[in-house]
Order: sequence, then C-alpha cells, then structure tokens
Amino acid sequence: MRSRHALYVILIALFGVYIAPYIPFFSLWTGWDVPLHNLLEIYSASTQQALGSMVLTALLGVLVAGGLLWFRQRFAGQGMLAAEYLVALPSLLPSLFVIISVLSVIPRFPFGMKGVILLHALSMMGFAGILFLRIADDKWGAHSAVAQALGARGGFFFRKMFPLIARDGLLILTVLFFYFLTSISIPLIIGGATFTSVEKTIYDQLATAHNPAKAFQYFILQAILLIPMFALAQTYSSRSNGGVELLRLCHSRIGFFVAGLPSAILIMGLVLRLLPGLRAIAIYPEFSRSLPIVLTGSLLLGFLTGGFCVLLLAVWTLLSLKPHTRKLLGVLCVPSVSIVAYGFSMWTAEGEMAFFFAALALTVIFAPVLFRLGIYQQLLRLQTQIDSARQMGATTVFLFRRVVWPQISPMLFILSGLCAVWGMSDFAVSRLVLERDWSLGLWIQSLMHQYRWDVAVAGCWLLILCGFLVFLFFWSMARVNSQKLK
Amino acid sequence: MAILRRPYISITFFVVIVATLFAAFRYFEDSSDSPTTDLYILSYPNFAKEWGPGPEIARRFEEQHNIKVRWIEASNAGMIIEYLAKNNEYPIDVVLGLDILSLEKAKATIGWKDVPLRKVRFTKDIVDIHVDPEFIPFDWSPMTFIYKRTDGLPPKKLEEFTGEAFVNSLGLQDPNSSATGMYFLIWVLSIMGEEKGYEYLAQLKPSIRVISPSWSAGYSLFQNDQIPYVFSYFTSPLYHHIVENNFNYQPIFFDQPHIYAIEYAGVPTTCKRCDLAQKFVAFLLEKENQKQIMMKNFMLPAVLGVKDKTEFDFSQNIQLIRPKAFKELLEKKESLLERWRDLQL
Repeated sequence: MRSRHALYVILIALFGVYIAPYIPFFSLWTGWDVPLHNLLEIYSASTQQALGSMVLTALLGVLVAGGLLWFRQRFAGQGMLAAEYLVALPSLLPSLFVIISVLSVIPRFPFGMKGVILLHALSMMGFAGILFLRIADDKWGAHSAVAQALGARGGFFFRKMFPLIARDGLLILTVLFFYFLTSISIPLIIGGATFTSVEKTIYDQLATAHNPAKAFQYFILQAILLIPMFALAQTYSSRSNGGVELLRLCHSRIGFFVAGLPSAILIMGLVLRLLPGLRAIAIYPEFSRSLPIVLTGSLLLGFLTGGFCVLLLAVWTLLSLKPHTRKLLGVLCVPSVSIVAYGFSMWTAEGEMAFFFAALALTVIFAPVLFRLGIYQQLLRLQTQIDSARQMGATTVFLFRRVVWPQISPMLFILSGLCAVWGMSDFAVSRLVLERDWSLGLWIQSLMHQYRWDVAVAGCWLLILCGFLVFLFFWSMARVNSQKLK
Repeated sequence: MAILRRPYISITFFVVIVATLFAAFRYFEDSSDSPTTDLYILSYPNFAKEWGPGPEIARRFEEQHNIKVRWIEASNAGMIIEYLAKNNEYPIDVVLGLDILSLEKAKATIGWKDVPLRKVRFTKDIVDIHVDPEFIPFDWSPMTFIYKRTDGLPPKKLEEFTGEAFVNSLGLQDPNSSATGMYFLIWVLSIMGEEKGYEYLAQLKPSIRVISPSWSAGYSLFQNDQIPYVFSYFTSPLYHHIVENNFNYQPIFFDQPHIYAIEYAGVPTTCKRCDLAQKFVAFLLEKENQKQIMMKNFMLPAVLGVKDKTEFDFSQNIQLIRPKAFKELLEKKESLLERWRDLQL
C-alpha cells in the first residue's frame, strides 16, 4: 500500500516537473487574439514542412538501415558500433554544426521550406536508419533465417513482413514528425523570413516581439495537435518478436554510401575551418582566456544533464510498469522547446545554481524523445517477463529493481550520455536559463553571431572532445551494468 | 571498472565529479570576474566581449578612477531595453549600444540623465543628427550591400537589383526582427518615397535569395558563399581587410544617398554611480578609446579626426540620406512593418 502511494507521489512529481515551466504563462494570459487566417497559414506551412521532412527522412532512413545491414555482414562487433556512431553523428551533434558544415561545403544551398526539409533529412536520416534497423532486427530477425532458407528475395520479404513493423514504424514516424514540427535552429537560419512554422512563430513572439502571452496561445494549439498524436502512436506500438539479428535480406550497398554522406559533409565542413580557427585562438589570447570557464561549465552542464536524465528515465520506466500510469505518461511531451525554455528561465536561480535549472530544463526537453525511441522498445521486449513476474506476485518496485533495471540500465545510461552531449551543445535553452557564455554551446553561438566562424568551428571540435569524455563516463556505466547482467 | 558495479560507489563517483567541476568552475569564474565590481555597464556581446573594444577601454578607466567595471550583456538594442524594463539584480550605470531605431522606446521605458560633454567635436556626418543630450553617439557607419570582388561588377543604383543579372542573389534581413532589416526598409522608402518604395520591394522579390531573421545569420550565409550580396554595414569589409587580410570583400558605393546606423551611450536615472557613469561616457569619446572602438568594433568613430589617414577614412565620398526623412519614416515604423508583411517577400 505504502509503495503504491509512493508511486503516485513520484508520478505527481514527474508531472510537476513537466508542468512547472508553463505556470508563469498563466499569469500573463490576456485572452485570445490570434487571427484565424494567420493561424491556418502558419499551421499549414508547419505541417507541410514536418510531413515533408518526415517522409524524406524515413525514405533515406530505410536506405541507411539497408546500408548498415550490408556493413554489419562484413564488419560485425566494434566495427558496426563505430559505423552506427558515425552514421548517427549529424543527429548526435547539434543542428548548428550541421548548418555550418553544410553551408561551408555545399554552395548555394536552397533556402526556405525546401532547404529546411533537406537539412532536416540530412541531419536525422542516420538516426532514423539505426532505429529502423533495430525494429527490423526485433520484428523480422526471427523470420529472416526461415525466409532466407526458403530462398525468399529481399523485396518479397519486405512486402510480406511490412505489417509486422508498421506499428513501431508509426511510433518512429510520429517522433520524427514531432521533432521536425518543434525544430527551431534549422528553420531560423535556413527558413529565412519566407518560411514560418508554429515553433518559429512562438520563438519570434518570445524573442522578438516580447509577447509571451501570444506565444503561449500558439503553444496551446500546438500542444492540442501533438499530445493526442503522441499518446496514440505509443499505444499502437507492438511487442517484440525475440530480438534476433536480421539476416542478409534487405541489405543495400548504395544505402551504406548514402548513410555516410551527411557525416562526410559534417566532418569535411568542420575540418575545413579547424586550422584557421586554431590559428585565431593562438593569435588572440582573449579566446583562450575564455576556455577554462566554458570547458568546466560545459562538463558540469553535461554531467548534470546526464545525471538528471538517468534519474528521470529511471522514474519514467518505473512508472511505466503500471499499465494505467503508462497510459498517463503517454501524454508527457514538450510541444514547444521555446516555451519550456522560456518558462524555466522565469523560475531560474542566479549565479552558478542556474546550471541545475538549465540541466533540468534540457532533461525535461530531451527525455520524452529518448524514452520513446529507446526505453519504450526495451520495455515492450521485456513485457513477457514483466507479465510472468506479476503473475508470481511481484510488486512494481520489486519488478523494477530485480527484473527491469538490470536489463534496461545499459541502454538508459547510453541514452543519458546522449542527452548529456545534446545538453552541452545546446544554446537555445541554455541561453535563456544561464544568460552568460558559461558553456561551449553558448560560446560557439556567440562566436557565430560575431562572425568568428573559424574559432566557432575550433570550439565545435572542443565540444566533440568534451562530449566524448562525458559520453565515455555514461558508456562506462552502461558497460558496468551490462557486465553485472552477465 | 569493477568497483563501479556497486551502485553507491558509482553514485559517489558521479557526485565527486560534479562537485569538482562545480568548484573548478567557481574558481575560474571568480578569478576572471571580480565580485567587488563597482560600475555596471550594459552592452551587447560584440562590444563587451574580450575581443571587442570594451574590456580595454574599461581597463584604462579602472586605472584612472580606481574602480572596477563589470559588463552585463544583452544581445542587441531591443534586448538592452528589455533588460532595463525588468527589475534586475544589477543596477545599470551605463548603457552602450542603443541605436536610432531604439531611442524612442528607450526614452519611453526608463528615464535618462543628461551627459555633459566638454569640447567634443563630432564628425560632421553625424553632427546634424546628434541633438539629444541624454544619448551620446560613440560610433556609426553608413550601410550598403557588401559583395565579393570575384563575383563581378556591382550595381550603381538600387533599381538595378531588379534586373535579371541579380535574380536570387540578395540577402536581406527581416525588419520585424532585425535592426539592419529596418534600416534597409527605411533606406528604400526614403530614396524612392513610400508608394514607389513598396512597388520596388515587390519587384525585388525574384532577386531576394534569403531574408534572414538577424544580421549575423545573413552575414554568415554571405561569408559561406550562399548569397552574393548582403545588406550590412559599410565598415563590415574592413574586418576582413584588417583581421583576415582578405580584400575580396567590398562595399557597394551607390550613386544614391546611403542610410546609416549610429550607436549611442546613455546613463539611466536609476544609476548608482551616476557621476562615474557620466565620466565613462565622456571617456568613450577620448581619441584613444575612439580608436579602440574603430579597430575592434569595426565602426566609424563619432569624434572628428580619429579616422584620418586610416583604412576607415572613406566616408567623405558617401552621400547620406537626410535626417528629417529618416525621422519621419521612423515615426511610422509599425505601419511600415505592416505593409512589409503584406508584401510576403
């Protein structure tokens, strides 16, 4: 009984963390004054962009998954792990890096909606490919050996087996749609003033028009559109079929080269400007003088964000073990990054304590996506064990400690490491909460605003290095936990 | 690694890392920024950052007056006013970085003290515009389109930009969110008149490659060869000439009068060290400090004679728009923006 009450307290606390950023906006409410025609126009453009980005990313993602499968058959183990990280690089690093690199390497890149869709696809196709491959392994793996033994061809296998992955594919597509709809960095720079999205309008209302009340009106409409969609997509996800690796069927050599393209552009863009950047740092001592603060600040922000993320994902997982709380958690998401960041900035503390608020804000923003793309699938895979343990009278807390945590913690730590890296490289949320250039992400953004792109790129490399260090910590924790499992 | 398998040890390890980083951060932050600062100056990062002119000028002022200067940053003139409107932790003594577009709003937001100046001779280009004893100009620049010499010959008149040779080639800024965007809009309207100006802007549509939300975003795209022509400060190429030794970047000298941006300093009535604040504003106009602003902020000095015989000595060849036309259009800012939005560029 006591543990049940404790779970409800934890559930309320989790919802509290997600609701807290919106509370200051209610006091600013002045009534509804967004014109309908304006609203329709913005929503139409926003939805077209998100749909276009989602479709292109999904198509390229399927090709990437085929490419990764082709690679895995030749270089299994650590080689495959390295390939996955390389392919996912443009999604792991902040959009800002992708923008810098693409614009440095590709002359006359298209602007407006076309440019936004293309850049979204380039930055997320690798990640989408990895997710598709995971689902294919999970849902098709057990069938692929039989199909291969019977001599089935790739296309036939794909057609016949598609219904098995449709539900999980829908969840990934929903998360991608959500990500693109709420994306802000790419529309701000590549969209120009000709392309408008709901998130961009919210951002403009907050940052340019200084009208948070109006921004909140747009946010409410975006939330009404997104929250039910999210909850529905999660409900329709299906159970695992065993988690066996998919065999040769559906692999694609072309896909492997497509998979490497965005990372190659990203690395080329960053390499091109590295030397001039280092030279500038060496010439101007003022750049190197800022480094100790931004380096320690970034590491602090990274570790705190990762730590909060471990805690939040663990709590979320614990609460997801109860079917009715799992349904409730389905609605937890961040329909507008700008609103949440602004909301947290109104709660924030002065001085170094602001790091805790920044880390919390970043965790609140990233955790829902990480949970749905990583942990949720793992939970589905464990569902049979969970059901059996429940039949045998296991309580939720016991189930979590003895059955779920040992199996889920390696992935949870990896995802938290990823959250830490995203947090370190963030500038939008940190700018509102920290206010000063206390992290590499903020420092880089300031340098770009002062058109010191070369130094900014050198800063990107430092960020990659720091991100690697922080990720290594969480990866080590994941390894320790996976060894415990063995 | 094996020891980390015990959860309490791994949690302690994590806490130790965070605590060490926190302590290290405090150490670096304290050693770089003394907590006993006296004079608070609110400015934009390009001025206040270590590579801007602010820290060097502040160092000289600190030596002369035996006080500490502390910089508070806000990203642009709009954010500076936003900061002043709130009750903040720091009492702001000096504000640097207001522009012509934001002066009225600054006056409406808070009160400002007069700044007494002795024997300052402003450059003749801005002497007609500087009429306000509360706001003191400390730098300025005409504005124009910047191009790369390797991209061919530039036009001589704005009207030429509507020609086929310039299709999909201009980088403008959105006047709703960017001061430079607003300067461009006022420039066109002051040269061509309101009606013809909007007609021209509608005709310009095929030539516009991107309308960026801010000057920095637009200029970055230009630097990355994404846009052949970008609307910017006349002095922007000098950064490339002086810092990068790259003379490919050039301003376009139009046969028409150019619009200009002027940056102002002011002392809010809420200042705590008002006397020192007024002295600091006057100190900004001293020759050495004007040179520092010119060479590190890449703007023209406000004081006569500072730029003579330097790379910055070009403005005498530039015709400027009449201050009266500028001010009249500024008074109608909201309706001008409304019509700009209707163009749907």
